[in-house]
Amino acid sequence: MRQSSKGKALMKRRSALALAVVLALTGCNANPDVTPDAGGSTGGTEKGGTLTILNAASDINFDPAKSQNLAITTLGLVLRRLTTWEVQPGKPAQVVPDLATDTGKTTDGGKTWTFTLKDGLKYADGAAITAADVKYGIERSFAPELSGGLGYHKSLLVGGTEYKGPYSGADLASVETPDAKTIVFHLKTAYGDWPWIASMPAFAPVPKAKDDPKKYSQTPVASGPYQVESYQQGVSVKLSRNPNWDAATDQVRTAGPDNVVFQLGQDTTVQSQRLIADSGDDRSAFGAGFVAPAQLAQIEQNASAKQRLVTSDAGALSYLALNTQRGPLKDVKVRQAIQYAVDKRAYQVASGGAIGGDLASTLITPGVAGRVDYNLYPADPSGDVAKAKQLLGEAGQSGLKLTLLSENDQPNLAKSQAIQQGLQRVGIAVTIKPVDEEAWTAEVSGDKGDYDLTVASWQPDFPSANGNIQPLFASSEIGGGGYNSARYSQPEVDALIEQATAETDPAKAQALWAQADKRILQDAPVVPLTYTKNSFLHGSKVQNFFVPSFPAYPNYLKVSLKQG
Amino acid sequence: MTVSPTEPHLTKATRSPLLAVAGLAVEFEVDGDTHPAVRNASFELHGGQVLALVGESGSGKSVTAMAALGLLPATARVSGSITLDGAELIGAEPSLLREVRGGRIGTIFQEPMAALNPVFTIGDQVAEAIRAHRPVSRSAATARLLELLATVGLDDPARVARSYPHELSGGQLQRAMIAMAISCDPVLLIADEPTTALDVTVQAGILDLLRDLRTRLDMAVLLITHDMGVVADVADDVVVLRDGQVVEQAPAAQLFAAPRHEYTRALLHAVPTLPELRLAEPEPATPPAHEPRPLDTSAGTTPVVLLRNVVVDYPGRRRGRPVRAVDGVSLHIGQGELVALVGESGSGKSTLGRAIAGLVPVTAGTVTVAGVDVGHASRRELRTFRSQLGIVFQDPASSLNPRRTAGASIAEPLSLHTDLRPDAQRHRVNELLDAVELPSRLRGRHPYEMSGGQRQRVAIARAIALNPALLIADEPTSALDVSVQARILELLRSLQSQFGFSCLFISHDLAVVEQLADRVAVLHRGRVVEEGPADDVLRAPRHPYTSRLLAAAPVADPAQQALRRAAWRQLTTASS
Amino acid sequence: MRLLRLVSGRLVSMIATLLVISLITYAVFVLLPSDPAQLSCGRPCTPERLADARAFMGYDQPWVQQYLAFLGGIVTGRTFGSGAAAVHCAAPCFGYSFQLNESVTHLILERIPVTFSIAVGAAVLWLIIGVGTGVISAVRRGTAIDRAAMTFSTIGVSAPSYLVGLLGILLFGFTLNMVPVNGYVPLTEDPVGWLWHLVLPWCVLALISAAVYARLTRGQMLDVLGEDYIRTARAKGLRERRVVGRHALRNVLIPVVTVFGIDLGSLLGGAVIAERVFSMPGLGALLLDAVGNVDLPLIIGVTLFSAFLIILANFLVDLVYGVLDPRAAP
Repeated sequence: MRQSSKGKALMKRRSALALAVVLALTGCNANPDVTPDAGGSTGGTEKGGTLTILNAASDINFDPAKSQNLAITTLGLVLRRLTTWEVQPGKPAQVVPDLATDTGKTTDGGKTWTFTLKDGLKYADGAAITAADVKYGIERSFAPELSGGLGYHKSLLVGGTEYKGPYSGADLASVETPDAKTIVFHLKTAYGDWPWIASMPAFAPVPKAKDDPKKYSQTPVASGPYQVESYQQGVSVKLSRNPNWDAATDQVRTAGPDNVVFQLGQDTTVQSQRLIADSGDDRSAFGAGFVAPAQLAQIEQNASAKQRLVTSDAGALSYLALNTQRGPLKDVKVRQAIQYAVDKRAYQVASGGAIGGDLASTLITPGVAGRVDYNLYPADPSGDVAKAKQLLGEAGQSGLKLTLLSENDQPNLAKSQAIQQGLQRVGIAVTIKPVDEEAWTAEVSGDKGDYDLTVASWQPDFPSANGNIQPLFASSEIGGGGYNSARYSQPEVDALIEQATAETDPAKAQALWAQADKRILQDAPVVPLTYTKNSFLHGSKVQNFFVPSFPAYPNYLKVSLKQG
Repeated sequence: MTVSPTEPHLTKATRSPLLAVAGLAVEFEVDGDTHPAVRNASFELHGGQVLALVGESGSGKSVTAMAALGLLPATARVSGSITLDGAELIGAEPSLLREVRGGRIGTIFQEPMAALNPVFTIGDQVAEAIRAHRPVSRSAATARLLELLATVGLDDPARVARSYPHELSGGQLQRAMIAMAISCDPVLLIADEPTTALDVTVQAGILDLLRDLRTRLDMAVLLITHDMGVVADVADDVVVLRDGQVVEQAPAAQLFAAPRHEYTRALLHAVPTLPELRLAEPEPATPPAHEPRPLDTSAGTTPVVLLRNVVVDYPGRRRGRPVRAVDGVSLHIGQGELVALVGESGSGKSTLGRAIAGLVPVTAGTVTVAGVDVGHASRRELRTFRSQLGIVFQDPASSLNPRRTAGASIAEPLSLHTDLRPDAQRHRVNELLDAVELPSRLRGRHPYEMSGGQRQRVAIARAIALNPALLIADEPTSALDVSVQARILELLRSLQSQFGFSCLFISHDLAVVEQLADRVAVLHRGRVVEEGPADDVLRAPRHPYTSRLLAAAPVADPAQQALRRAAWRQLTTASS
Repeated sequence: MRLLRLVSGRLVSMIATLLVISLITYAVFVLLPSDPAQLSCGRPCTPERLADARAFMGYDQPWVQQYLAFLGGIVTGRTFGSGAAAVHCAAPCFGYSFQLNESVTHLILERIPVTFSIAVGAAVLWLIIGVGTGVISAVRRGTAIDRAAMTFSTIGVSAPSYLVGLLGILLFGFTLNMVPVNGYVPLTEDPVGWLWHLVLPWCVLALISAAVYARLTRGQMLDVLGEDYIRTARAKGLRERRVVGRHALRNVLIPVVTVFGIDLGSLLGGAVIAERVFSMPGLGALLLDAVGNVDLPLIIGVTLFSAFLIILANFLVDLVYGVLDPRAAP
């Protein structure tokens, strides 16, 4: 998830954390295990209390059309969608029904999908949730006025490319609501992951009568267990119980706390200090951001805080992209040589050591169903210099000079330098070209691609292998705002992606994705480096707090507070 | 108490002394070292008398006065006794001292512009002095202050009271200071160099006022001055201080007529004198002011400096009209000639000097120096011209770079305008140091390690380093003590005869000019009002302004000064 | 009358300065590589969606036209998009933040009370503490009090404010539990809470700036105490308190006020560090977020507003200067 500026900010913060840990821990050469309670604190759900969530951002956008929220975080507390994610410690994320009775049925191999709403679903104001509301919510996500959200459905639905939203009076014919409970989607091509797409924020119901596009981001009509009670931009958002939410219709939300308060604009260092101090209301709080860098060492010293630190399982992939359309990098032998030349251990140290992430060898990340673990280029974590040199020799290359595009901040530069030093060992001279974050994004997703190498990281927007593979390796994603930073184009892979995308049987699709994973790495367009980890801190009264490998964020929907 | 007739003694009064200083010693402690400023000084001042404390800088005269007020800095250690009407002031309670300050002793200082707080009005500051000692209402204080301002001879007291210091002239400010000092009817007025910063004509007025106030208010005056002319003008008794010690005290007439101490004699000797004043009846045939006398053809040489109808305007403040500083001056300086430019502050004399040096653009007319038309010269010509020009300013402390040694300062023009090799440069610097009578060991000293006289000698050496055709000396001795001044003037004269440069000597001091100049030009409001051989102009002035100027300049001879004073009064009343 | 002419003359030059600043700010941000439409495009972002977003936000036009539209919006207000979802930004419209769904004008106005509360309170505190300390140090020059004050101020001058803020929170907030560690309570809702929440930020900011002012005041005071008019004031028989407190202080304040005006002006534009550390939703936090989110309209708006405050502060300093120093009076 490179594109979301907020997501990126979080990524950056995590990187800073990683660096500080290196500084703090390299001296003692220890393998820090700051996860005393591997799954986090779990247990039965107690009801009551006010949960406080400390947030660095100054704003929460509750408009489902504009939100890029994960299904298990903030928006999930207020808005239900057709489907949602069941995320449990130690298990891959699953797609499960939310408003719908199932995760969707297709009768024509993935081109038409039908969902039926559960009975008795109501908004906070008591009005019934209808299929038309779901349709309207999807339609308004097409309006340019409300752009900014997750829009995977926009190019999949028939007529989606031309549709400009409901405000000019038109409706989207490819979404049908034959009755109040049924909603039918007509797609341009077969798409097996549509059940995942139906978990996106835009699939939350929006009653047309209550839609004020200018205000909806602060006053959404609640379908989940909580409703927005007050919204103060930059200060706080208070959620209170939605009296009309029926737990019986909801299999993922436990709705423990009576109230949830988001404190906005909280400095991350102060957040950590408050949570370490663990006094008063902060006992019922957790931080939405990664634990601030300097605090990890402090937490290490503090037995109480150490117990309340939760580090995710290895999750998002960070990788070195090799621009396959540039000079010597067009040669697969050279790219394979680089697979061996890279010093993944040095990279891991530069990103914070073991707490920053585990070494990676595949494209599909842990926590995503259907992942097959393999390693096409087995070597010592520090690389295999001899093998790399041999491959370079076979390719007839010597004295290679490459440029590495890097974001111009200390953590990213440290990582780029780890790559630079690794490649130096095999006689590849790497010049680091530091650019600002914005320029980096523009360069990598733009049409020119004027770079040889770059370090990037990727967390999919939905926990399907599709999200791991398609955005990074489909030839359609080169330039034009796409994230195929290796500029990798392989008809065979495109065909595999197409086939896997269309496959509606999850098991078969997963097998195809695993096949694509391996097939891509044979061409070595990227070097998988690490599966990154995130650490979070919570107060002593917070229960059922865990961070899965995907997504490597706390599951807000299940957090509860110890009572008494 | 018997006084031997051979002992010098001050004018006797039957009353006990108003102010008695006995065995006063003041030391300053600086970084652990003690520096004596006053040593065992004793003198007395009786009511209604004027006692002048005379001495050069560092003689301890001001320190003595400040000791009486208890206003010495914390680093000073004071011993001995100062009594006012029998009450001991040294070590007195702060409350007593506060009562004395401004209440029984009024004080005026040298630089009235600096001595008044720039951010309060005159009225405010005078009223404050009144209310500090008298429990009077605001309106009563205002009435009193207007009365006081009128008393000190200020026209339109109400306007003066409303004014801030920067809105008034130096003379007006000093009068206001005096008003403030006498506001509580003090028995003693301490006047610390009260006229040093003022023009002679203004000085004459202030001295007149002091004299007048003394009689009217029956107030004693402790006058601190370095100017023997001022002493001759107003003092009854004189105490001469040198290095913190009283070397001689005597009634004024006696001191001037028969100085007993060698130092007093030297001091009096060093004072440049003016010829006896012979005021001609105003001649009807006085040549018009703007028309200079024809060129002295007897010289026969082309002049080094030739000014023709020079006008210099300064842009006015805030888009105001430009101020005309020099208004149509024509003047010439011949080869080896020393021409003095005389005038009071604001007369345009310094501006004219700067215009000749090419430092100020000329609005109209031409300035030719050594054949170069300064206003229209090319870059190269200007460079040559600058090497033909030496300038000495009033204050060497600010015109010399404090971070450069004397040697480096002198060598600077050599490196700029010649290609002398370092050893040749060093040789030349030694020559120059020798020429200005400084030992060559001083070449390594920084300005702060030298005395004022030594600094001015360095500045002169620098100015003549390139054998200039013209030396401009802008009040070169005004910041110096009389004895030093005399020696510097002597030096200038000998250098001029030795090197033969022409010299424009800018000064407000007529006596200095008289000593030095071949010719004198008197500048008044930007115009040359009189110009001619020094002897003619200073002995028999033709223009009334020159007469006033001459009459106002005090001379170090009480009898002669009394005549001058009378003449000055006559002139001022005649002209007003 | 003269004052009126001065004010109107200055107003014209202020507006001209702001126009130049706005033009430069606009040009700089528009010429940056980042594309605000791209940031608002959502994910995945197809070229068609990008074009739609760009057109809606008005970024499809040449930047000079965008700038003129921006200027026009200040006078007449602007409308983005059309139909039921059109966004209207009422005059004076200093841009519209598409990320926060709010007009920049409204966002700034909403944040002003917070920043002004922090800035004015802190400024008053530091002026009192700094000038007071400086005066005492100068009057008691060379004593233990002077040395202690100057040592303290050296620390204050060199300490990073973020660190001091954090230490303050740790000590008074967590360890001693005396004051709340973060948040802002509007004065109108709860005056005591307002005060209570602001005490720590005020102290932290004041502590740091007071150090600068103490040094400045001390130096100026030492200079002024050496002036002739101070000797005159003493020779008048004034009490030392009056000599220092009236004659000297009034002259010392002239340079201090100049610095103070500029400091206050820039602090009013956003007490960035304090707002961040104490989680106060002020202008500084707004700007920081805007930069973090590359919310260009907001960045331009807040930058302009800050510039306006600084220019205004300069202007006010000039006016006060005229009152304090008669020599500078128009």
